[in-house]
Amino acid sequence: MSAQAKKKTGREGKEAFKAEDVLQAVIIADSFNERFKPLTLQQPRALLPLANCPAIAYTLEFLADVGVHEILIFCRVHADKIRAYIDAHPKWGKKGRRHRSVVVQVIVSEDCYSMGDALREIDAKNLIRGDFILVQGDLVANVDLQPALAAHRGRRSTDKNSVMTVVVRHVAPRHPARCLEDQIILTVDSTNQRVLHFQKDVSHKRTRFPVNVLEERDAVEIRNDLLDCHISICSTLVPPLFSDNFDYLTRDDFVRGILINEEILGNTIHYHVLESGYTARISNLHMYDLVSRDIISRWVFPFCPDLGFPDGSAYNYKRHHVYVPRRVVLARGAELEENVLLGRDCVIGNNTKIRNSVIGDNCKIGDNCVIDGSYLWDNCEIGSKVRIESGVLASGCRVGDESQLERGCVLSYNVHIGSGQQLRGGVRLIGEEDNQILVEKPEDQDMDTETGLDNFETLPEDYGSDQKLWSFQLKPDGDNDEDESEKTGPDFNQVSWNWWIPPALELAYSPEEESDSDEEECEDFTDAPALGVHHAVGNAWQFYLEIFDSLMGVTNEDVNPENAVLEINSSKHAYGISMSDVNKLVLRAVLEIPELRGKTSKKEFSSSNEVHNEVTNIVKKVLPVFRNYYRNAESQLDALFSLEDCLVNYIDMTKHQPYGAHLADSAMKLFHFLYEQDILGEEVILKWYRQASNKHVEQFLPFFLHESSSPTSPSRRRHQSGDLTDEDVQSLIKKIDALKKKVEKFVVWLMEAEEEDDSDQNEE
Amino acid sequence: MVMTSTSGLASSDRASSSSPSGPCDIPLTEELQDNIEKFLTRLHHSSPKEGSYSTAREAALILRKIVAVCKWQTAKELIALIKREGRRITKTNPADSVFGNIVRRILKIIREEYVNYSTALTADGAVPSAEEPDVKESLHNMFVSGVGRSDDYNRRLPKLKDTTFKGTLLEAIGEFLSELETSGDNIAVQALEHIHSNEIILTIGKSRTVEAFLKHAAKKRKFHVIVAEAAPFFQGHIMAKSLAENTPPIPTTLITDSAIFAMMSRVNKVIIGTHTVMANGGLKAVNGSHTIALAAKHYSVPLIVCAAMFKLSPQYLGTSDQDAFNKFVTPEDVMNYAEGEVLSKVHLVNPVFDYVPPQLVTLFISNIGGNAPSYVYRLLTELYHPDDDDDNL
Repeated sequence: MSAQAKKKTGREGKEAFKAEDVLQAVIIADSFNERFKPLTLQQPRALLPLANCPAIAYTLEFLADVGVHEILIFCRVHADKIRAYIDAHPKWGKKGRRHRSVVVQVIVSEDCYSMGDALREIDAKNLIRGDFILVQGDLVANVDLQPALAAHRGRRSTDKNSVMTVVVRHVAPRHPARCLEDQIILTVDSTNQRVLHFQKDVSHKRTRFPVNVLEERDAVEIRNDLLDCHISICSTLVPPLFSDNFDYLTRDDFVRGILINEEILGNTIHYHVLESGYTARISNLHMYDLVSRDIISRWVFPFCPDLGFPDGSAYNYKRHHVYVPRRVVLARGAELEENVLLGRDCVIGNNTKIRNSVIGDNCKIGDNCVIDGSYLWDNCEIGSKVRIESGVLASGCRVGDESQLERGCVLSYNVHIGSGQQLRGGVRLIGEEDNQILVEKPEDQDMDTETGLDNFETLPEDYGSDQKLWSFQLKPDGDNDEDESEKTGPDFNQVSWNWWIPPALELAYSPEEESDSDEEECEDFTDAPALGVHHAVGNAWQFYLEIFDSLMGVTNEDVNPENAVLEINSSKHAYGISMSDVNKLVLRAVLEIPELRGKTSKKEFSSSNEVHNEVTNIVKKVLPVFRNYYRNAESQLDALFSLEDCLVNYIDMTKHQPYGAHLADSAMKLFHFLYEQDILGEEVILKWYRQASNKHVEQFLPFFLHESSSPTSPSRRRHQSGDLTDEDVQSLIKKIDALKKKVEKFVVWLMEAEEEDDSDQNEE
Repeated sequence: MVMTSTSGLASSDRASSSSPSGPCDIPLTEELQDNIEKFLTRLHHSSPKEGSYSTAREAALILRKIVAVCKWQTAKELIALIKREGRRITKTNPADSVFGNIVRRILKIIREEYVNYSTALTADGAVPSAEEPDVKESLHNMFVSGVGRSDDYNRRLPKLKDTTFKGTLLEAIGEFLSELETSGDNIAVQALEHIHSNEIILTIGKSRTVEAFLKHAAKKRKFHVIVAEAAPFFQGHIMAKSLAENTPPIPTTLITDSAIFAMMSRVNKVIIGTHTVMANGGLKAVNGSHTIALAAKHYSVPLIVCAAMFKLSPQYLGTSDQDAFNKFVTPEDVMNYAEGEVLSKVHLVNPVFDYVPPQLVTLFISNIGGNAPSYVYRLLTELYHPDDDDDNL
């Protein structure tokens, strides 16, 4: 690294420093989320052991290596612990006798709830004197930042408006280090490394960018092969900009905000691509797992356990990435298979197999255990014949003989599990101390994000323990005011390890399965088959929810209908839904909206008129959407079948009572209305009417056929597609016939009108 | 497993009683502290591509500064101080033996100077020759190390004429530094004795010493050089370019490491550099050296190793298990991290060094002349003091 910069001896260096030459770094040592709970109840995330070394040690070492002279650690929750750690640290602390060239300062702020708040505070305290590096307290990296810094400074010298350089690493799109959260798509100007558009996208397979980025530019790149390093080189302008914009919570908000206001304020953001080196954040358990393994397989060299990191070479490196310290007791048959880091003074029993795991100091593991992919922190005691797979056991845990922990268990501090217990996958258990913290907290602090209060539930559990245990569960991410874009994405508080990896690419479907041809679609994507195919149902359900959300937005008048169409189209590709099903689901969603609204506003629909009015109001609002989708006869027919599906099925479903019944009653009016609005053409209606009823059934969306899912009760989905019995079909046909009867009048009127038309034309 | 040879008859009572490695509490100045820290960082990040000369030089400079700046009273204190700092630095970088070698050399210099100075004092009559032992560096004394070394280096040495002990010490270290600096040239001037006209020379990777050696020979002779690229660091590429661009240009062929055996039959001489010369005359050299050495043995091609004296280490390989001996760096060079999913399914190992056993080495060329591997033990006893082995360091 930067040999030249460091070759200066201390004295020369000091003389050369002008105030603005001091390179500062800001570490945000608070994650402002709860993904590591309950492990973060007693320790901040920055101090969680990562390969037996607090995570923040990696961050500090990295920054010192980059050549940072002053490090500001910004913390809120557990600030005292971070401060104590830094003070006691031989290298960074006040008493420390090394690294005089790096000054570490801990800043505590009680009332800051996001990175944005932290930077506003830094602005208020006026702590920044020059360019600084902004990172989070759980960053593990060994990249060479000098080129990025040089590029940033070079730009700054000519263009004062370049406020930030975002550092990204070139990796393949499906790299395990890119968890769902870190999927970014950058639109950049390749001639001057300027970021034009920044999209942090979790679920969509399609990117959007404003057309104006293409204007007046020679070369624009849209890149999906970049990993966000979470390292930003910021100019002095960044903290004031955060102060000016109170809605910027995260760095991503900032980037987006700057890009949107680019024309007004003239500020620009650049990016720098690294082609080598390692960088990752332990932003969740999956990343914790991944980064730990990467450390063990030496990607983070020179921060390897055997190279004296963090405190002298206590470890010997052996074949198959096994690290064993000098003082350790290994029974004769104990097998450290591969990728194992063993702490000091561990005792491993006979015939115990350990692989892909990190064991903390002072752990005792009995005979005949199997520990795979797990992280045991200090002072754990494991009995005999225990099996632990992909779990995290915090300090002081005890597991009795012959217990089994399935994938993804998390035991918090000092949790004791009895003998012969079986823990389901994904269980998080907390002990007395944690519970105490949870119970006591409300009095001290009423608003708290890291030791949050409102977002979890605890249930007493037993598991044969000699002490009290509670299971700890985070509630689904409902009330968090996180990003809009995250709402539709996966629930980031989920515990599971594999949640974070983007789903495997779906196999391309063969073209002949394409259910209908849609001329409007200009994309060359191959459409997925209709929903009748079994595996598509889950997708369709998700997709339906998204449509529902989009259309709901339109009816609440806070989403432009055109945007809604764009959203629906992009999720169509994300979930692989055929055009015909999209047509059906859109109508379906529109019909369910009034009901949901009624429910939320506690309004009972007392008459079919009322229902009809409500529906027509909604339809009027989403008319542009309808116009977009129901342009030709085929799509209109889809809509009609979907309408029929609803009308027929709503009538006798308890869930949709009385709304469904009223809706069915007003069927004819609804047909008429849609006809008047030119949504349904008369030929389509007539074609539909003339078709045999049993053919209609085939057109229904299978997964709605049973008393099925809706946003109001998604859990009640009992059946999946394709298991209709003949009886069901018969009853459906009967209902369809009934419906046809209801609209007969209207159809007859239509026919007459048509005949008149025909005859008119004939006469002419 | 790397062990340190305790040359001579190591007696246990020496280690326990008179070993001057007691606790030391002389503080370093802030500036020195900073220097060491920066040196450590750089050592940490030194890629296998960098030679060991710069490390050696810098280590010597830092140690000289410690001698010059710190407030020590007696040689014993100084030895303890240097051992303390040396231990701290070697601990964080166990695979890099160069620093340890330099520390031992400096310690040896301190001991020697102490003896010389005190002899001079007694001769001058400034101090009564109280119990002046016979500390002349005789061959006998080297081997019977327990005897006659009862001196504890604990005397305060007064000024002698216009020089102080510190002054002479710094001078001696200065000499050592200039020896370091000229070692490359001293090796190069021997080139003509080893490289003859129209020979084909094989080398691997890039060694500053070998580069200078070949270039020196090229001034007088015409010969051909085959360079193995030394994957995955590919230092051979740079070497080949440098040789080909030399004036006069040296005809150079670049080959892959896997072609070494195929090319060996036409090679007249193998000349390689090394990272360390072990106590038994074995080499700790760049990855691929063992391949070359074995191929050379097969075809009975002489293997010549160019190594300055500072690369001589009292360590030797205890077992054939190379894991503790080697340095494993990031697998980035083997496979890019960007590759993705496959990374979790494979083990990527990227060792930097190879151990070449002494029986495969024909000749060492150091700055003080050519030596056979079997002679290394003698050099060791000349260069290092037996009290300064790893365990005592």
